[in-house]
Amino acid sequence: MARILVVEDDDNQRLLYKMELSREGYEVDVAADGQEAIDKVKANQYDAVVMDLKMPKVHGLDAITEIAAIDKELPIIINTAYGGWQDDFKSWAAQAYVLKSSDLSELRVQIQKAVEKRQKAN
Amino acid sequence: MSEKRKILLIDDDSVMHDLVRAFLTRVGYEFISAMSGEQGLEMARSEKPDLILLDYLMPDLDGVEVYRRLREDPGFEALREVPVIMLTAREEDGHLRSRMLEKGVFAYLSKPFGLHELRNVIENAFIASEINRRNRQLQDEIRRARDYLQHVIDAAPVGVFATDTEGKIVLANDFMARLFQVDSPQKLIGRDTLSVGLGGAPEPLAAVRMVLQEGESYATEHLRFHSPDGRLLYLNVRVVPLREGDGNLRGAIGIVEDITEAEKRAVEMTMLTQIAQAMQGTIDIEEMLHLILTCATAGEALGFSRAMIFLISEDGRELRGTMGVGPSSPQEAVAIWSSLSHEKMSLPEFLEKYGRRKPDPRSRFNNMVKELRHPLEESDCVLARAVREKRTFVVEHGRLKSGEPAQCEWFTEVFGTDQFVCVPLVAGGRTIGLLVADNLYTGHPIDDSLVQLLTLMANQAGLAIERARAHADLAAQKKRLERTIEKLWEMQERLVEAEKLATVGQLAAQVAHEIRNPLVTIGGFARSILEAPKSEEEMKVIAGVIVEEAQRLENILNNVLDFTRLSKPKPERSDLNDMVQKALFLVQDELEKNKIRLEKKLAYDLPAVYVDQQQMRQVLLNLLYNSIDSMKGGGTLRVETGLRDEEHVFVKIQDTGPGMDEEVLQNMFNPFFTTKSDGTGLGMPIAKQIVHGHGGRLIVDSKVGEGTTFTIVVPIKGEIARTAEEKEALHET
Repeated sequence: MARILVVEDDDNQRLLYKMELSREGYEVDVAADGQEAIDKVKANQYDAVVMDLKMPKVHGLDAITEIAAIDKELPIIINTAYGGWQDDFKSWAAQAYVLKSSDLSELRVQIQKAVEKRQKAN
Repeated sequence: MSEKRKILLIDDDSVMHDLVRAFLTRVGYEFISAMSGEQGLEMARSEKPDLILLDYLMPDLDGVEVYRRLREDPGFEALREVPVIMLTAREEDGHLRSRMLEKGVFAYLSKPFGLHELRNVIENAFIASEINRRNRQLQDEIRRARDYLQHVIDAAPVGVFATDTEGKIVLANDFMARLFQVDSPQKLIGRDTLSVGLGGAPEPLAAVRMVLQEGESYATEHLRFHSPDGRLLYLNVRVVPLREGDGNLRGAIGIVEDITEAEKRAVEMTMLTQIAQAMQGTIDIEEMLHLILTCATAGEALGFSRAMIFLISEDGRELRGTMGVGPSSPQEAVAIWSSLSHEKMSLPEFLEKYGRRKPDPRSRFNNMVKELRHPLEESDCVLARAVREKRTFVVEHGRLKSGEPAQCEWFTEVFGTDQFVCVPLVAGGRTIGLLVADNLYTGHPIDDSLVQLLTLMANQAGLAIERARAHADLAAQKKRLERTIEKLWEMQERLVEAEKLATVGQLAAQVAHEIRNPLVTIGGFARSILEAPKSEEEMKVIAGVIVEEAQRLENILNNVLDFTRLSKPKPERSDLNDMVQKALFLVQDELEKNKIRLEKKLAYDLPAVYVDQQQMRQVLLNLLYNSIDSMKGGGTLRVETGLRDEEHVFVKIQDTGPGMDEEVLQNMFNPFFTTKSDGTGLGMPIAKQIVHGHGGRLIVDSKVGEGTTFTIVVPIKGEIARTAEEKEALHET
């Protein structure tokens, strides 16, 4: 079973992603901010990371940079309400950039791809 | 008398000799005698007798001839006063007797005469002689005293005169003769004091008549007197009655003082003052120049025929004819003078009427002056020299006073005169131009006092021109400034508009993003319900989330509305301390719950401010909640009010929370920036906008680990109103 980490500061959205992605059959771990995400990547093995960007303590983009430094091959999917971050080169380390939507199908597709890529590499 | 008196007898009769000698020596006289006229004259010269007895009938020279020589011939001067007694043997000749007595013979004795009679006559003669001597001595003394008096009077530096009761002059001194221009004071004697001034009204000595009529002294001061040669003199005349010992009026005596010089100086000072005052009345440069030239040409002032001003070009290389005032031709001059002489005006009136306006554009003379240009460099012309040397030059017949040629042929050619004066106009140590004046039409000489006066006036004129120029510069700069300010206002208005639009755009974008999160959550759960059936437990959780997120959306919406709807504050007179107290009351529970200690320091004499109370309360609450939120584990909240300066009050809200880092500080006023999970990120932008809307400032000071201080600074008088007032005031000026 693929294991994914959802990084999201909004409590209710964390709940939503956990519920929905679990239903997809993933083992879902969550983090409420960038720092917690970094700590969890260090401690655990994931097949993909879903990363919100605008978060307290450590910003998503900084967390991405940190995570890439820990595990270069770990696919990261940016999931944000803001389109603007695509211009920031730090976001280019991510595999995919998904605009937040109540329709999670795009996010599901990107997670699927990432997990496949990760498992193929392993 | 110690010495004996010496008596000389001239007689051809020797019996007479013996007789008279015997008698006269006996009665104490020294006696000498001569037998003929010639011998007698000889003896008289050598012996100098005190008395001569002269026989009438003698051969050769008779007594009459001897007497004549004694009295008239040179050589007998010492004997002129010696009494002579004529002796005659002739019958009584009444005619001869009276003739001789008339000629000064003291007595006439007919022979035969008694010796006692002779003695009486001799003694009488001596007495008479003594009386005569004393009389002459007295007369001498009187004459000397009178001469001395006349000398004193003549030497007096004032006119002295006396009149009889008719007002006719009986005494006058040299000063009076000079005043009325006669050869000697004698020529004034007998003249009537009412006509001595040749009818030049008013008669200078007319006061005499008053004194004679009233019997009291009388003085006239600052009397204008045109002397016979046409000069205008100013006199002070004082006349007092002259009375005899019994109090009867005998005439009048008077003193005349020439105060022309002092008066002239006083008049000049008054005139300069009036000119200076007139110059201060205008700041228009052209009016100023015209006024200066009018002063130079006004008859009441300096009275030049024509006057012109040259100003130095900005590069300092050229003299430029700037303005001229004066007639263009002799005919015009006559016309102007005759019309002016009808209007009897004081100098200030004249300057007010003719000075304070711009020159007549039709004046040929003015136009002629305005066309002139003269290079200053390498020119030895007197005009260039006056500029360079900052000196006044008087040119007469093309030459300076020093005799040097004026080298001003070009000027003479244009203006038709080689007699003029040029005075530099100096301001702040710098020559800014020249004032040139001439007497072309009157032909009057340009005398020193006139030049001095013109120089004094030019000094004032230089400063006045400089002042007018400075004012013109200032006016131009003010205009530029006004235009700049006008533009700035426009730009500011445009900027405000642009900023508003930008804010609205930014806000729209932010709102769009901000509502995305709750929408994602609500929509996500809704889809989740659609896609897969949920347990009742799950449904409860989901419903709770949806309610919460919907609430969040509503909050966002309310804040956005607050932010966009922030209307112009409706200021009312408010007590900031009172507002702070009420706000603190509202957060009291929060403070207690979080164990936050409150320290208040409210200024008791805080002036009232004009604020929108509702808006300001919102700001206070927002800042208080921020501070409380930063001290969840307890701390101290300090709230202070006071005067910041004369025009502003402040409210300071200080916490002992963790403080803010650089990023938060930079973004805290951006809409939707928040560090709180449940914050909208609009509280601070709204607070700032409200404070700014009141013309105030919201200052944040924060240090990580120490805490944060918010300071609201509000102007005491409503800033919005004042800005509007200022803008209006600026437009009016």
